[in-house]
Amino acid sequence: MDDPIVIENLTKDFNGFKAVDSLNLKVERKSFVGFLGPNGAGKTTTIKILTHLLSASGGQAYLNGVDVTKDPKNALAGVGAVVETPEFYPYLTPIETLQYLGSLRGMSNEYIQRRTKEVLETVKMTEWSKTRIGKFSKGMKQRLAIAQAMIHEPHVLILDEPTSGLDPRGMVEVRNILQDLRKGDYTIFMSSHLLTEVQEICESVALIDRGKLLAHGSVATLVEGTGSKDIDVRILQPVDSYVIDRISNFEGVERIVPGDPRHFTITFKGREEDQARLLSEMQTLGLKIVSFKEIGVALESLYMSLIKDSR
Amino acid sequence: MTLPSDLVQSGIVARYEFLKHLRSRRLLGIFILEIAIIALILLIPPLQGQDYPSDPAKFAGMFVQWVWILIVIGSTLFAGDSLVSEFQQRTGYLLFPNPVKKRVLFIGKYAASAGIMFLALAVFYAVVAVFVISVDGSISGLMASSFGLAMLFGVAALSIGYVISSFMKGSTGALILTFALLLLILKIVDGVATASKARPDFSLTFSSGVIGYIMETPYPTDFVQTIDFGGRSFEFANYYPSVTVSIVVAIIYIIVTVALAIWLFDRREMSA
Ligand SMILES: Nc1ncnc2c1ncn2[C@@H]1O[C@H](COP(=O)(O)OP(=O)(O)O)[C@@H](O)[C@H]1O
Ligand SMILES: [Mg+2]
Repeated sequence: MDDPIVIENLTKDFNGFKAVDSLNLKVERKSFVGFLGPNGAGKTTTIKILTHLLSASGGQAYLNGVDVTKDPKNALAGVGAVVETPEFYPYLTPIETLQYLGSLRGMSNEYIQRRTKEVLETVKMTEWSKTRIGKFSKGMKQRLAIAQAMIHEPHVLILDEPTSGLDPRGMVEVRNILQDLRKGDYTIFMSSHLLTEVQEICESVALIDRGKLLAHGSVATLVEGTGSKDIDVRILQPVDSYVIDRISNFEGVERIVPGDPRHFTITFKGREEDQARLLSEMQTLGLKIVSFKEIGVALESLYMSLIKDSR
Repeated sequence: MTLPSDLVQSGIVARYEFLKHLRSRRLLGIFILEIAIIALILLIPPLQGQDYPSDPAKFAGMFVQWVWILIVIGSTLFAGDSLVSEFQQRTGYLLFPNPVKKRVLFIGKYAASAGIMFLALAVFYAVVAVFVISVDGSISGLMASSFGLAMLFGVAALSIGYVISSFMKGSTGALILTFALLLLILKIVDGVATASKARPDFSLTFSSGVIGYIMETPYPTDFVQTIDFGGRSFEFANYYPSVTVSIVVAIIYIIVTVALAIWLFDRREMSA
């Protein structure tokens, strides 16, 4: 079977500016891939090409083996998408909207009715199912957008910043909905500029900047590759500059940033054993360590360093 | 689950687009306008101390010469921003990622607009027929011809609205341009052509005159008027569109503009 998403040398040229630049990417079946990059990296542009909203200036993009730039109708048959925050027809209700989109996809009436009930429940919009969408809030529309993307039980979901426009609770709910899909035969390709969100939902990431792919792989492998991480340390007694100095000379410590007198952050590079040794060495200095915690996620430093390198 | 054919999909699009039009306040606006036009025309003869024409064709003719205005307003409201809004209101983000060709979306929307135009014109002609029958006791068969021509020119005007809709950036601009083009710009062209004694057959507004003239027996023919003004005489040409030429002109407008609108819509990107 074909990989659900295959992007080959994809390029999008906006009057000489390459928003997407010879991008190559494969998303395997049942993988959840986070498409990460700073604002303006080219995430939305890539996703718009995948979803028939933009034409490509060059290259191909296959969805379930069909080139969406040539045959969008068949390429999009098994795909659900949420791009930007879409607007809905204000005169239609959620039920009518789902009925419309479902019938365009060839779903039977009974199937549409059953799925409509299910997806509206999933996104907690049942209460509003018969209200015209006209005055819905952005958050409600975003939920509905997610509902319509899932109406036909597609195996591939393409999402552009799926939690944008939602309040914190809505964000958690959407993340839970997406995590729930792990149980089924789903492939997710979702863009985000939020690292934590991607780490929560996806096991793989594709990093993009200036239209070019910087890295692609499982979160675990990418993190291993960088090796460095930030460790937050809290001490019972205040520490002086002598102690800080000593710690900065320990093996693997790249940097130490003091916070308040009982608190500092270490950027550390090394294996697990080295990290364990660091802790015991600090204790031999007589420090009463209250907390020794990895923060600032290693992916973040990878992300930052890759982006820095590409600039 | 197999995808429906293009034809079935365009039917689905048409059905929901039609529903959208039915629920919009614009359709109500058109109906109110129709009532207003009919009421005004009914008021004029009594105010002038005259009876309504006893010839049903003549009586109906008083109303149907205003149909072009209705068509222009209908085209503005039901075609002018039909495509623009998908981009400007961002509903395209919902619609375009579905497994359906852009041209199928176009055809569905176009069919729905034509359906609404039919509804608007049918209501107008029906109300006129009711008044004509209640005053004159009978109705002229020419009204059916006029209605058929009105529908043809209605669709031609819609097609122009769709071209404008396929490239304009904003709804307001598209609406204004559609309205101005159909009502003012083409009329000015007609006037300039006529003044320089060239038959403006190519103009849709000129040709649309058949909708009203068809009610006249005999059908009016061209003539040249000489008017003396300050010792000098001026010649004014009066041209009347021929029925066959007008029909051909309308059909050419439809074919050319629909092809152009589909081509533009197909290529237009969801970039904002
Ligand atoms: N229609 C357009 N015309 C010109 N430039 C565009 C257009 N759309 C996007 N861009 C540019 O392309 C780059 C990538 O944009 P985008 O894909 O939206 O980034 P992201 O989603 O990663 O934040 C940006 O620099 C943006 O300004
Ligand atoms: Mg974006």
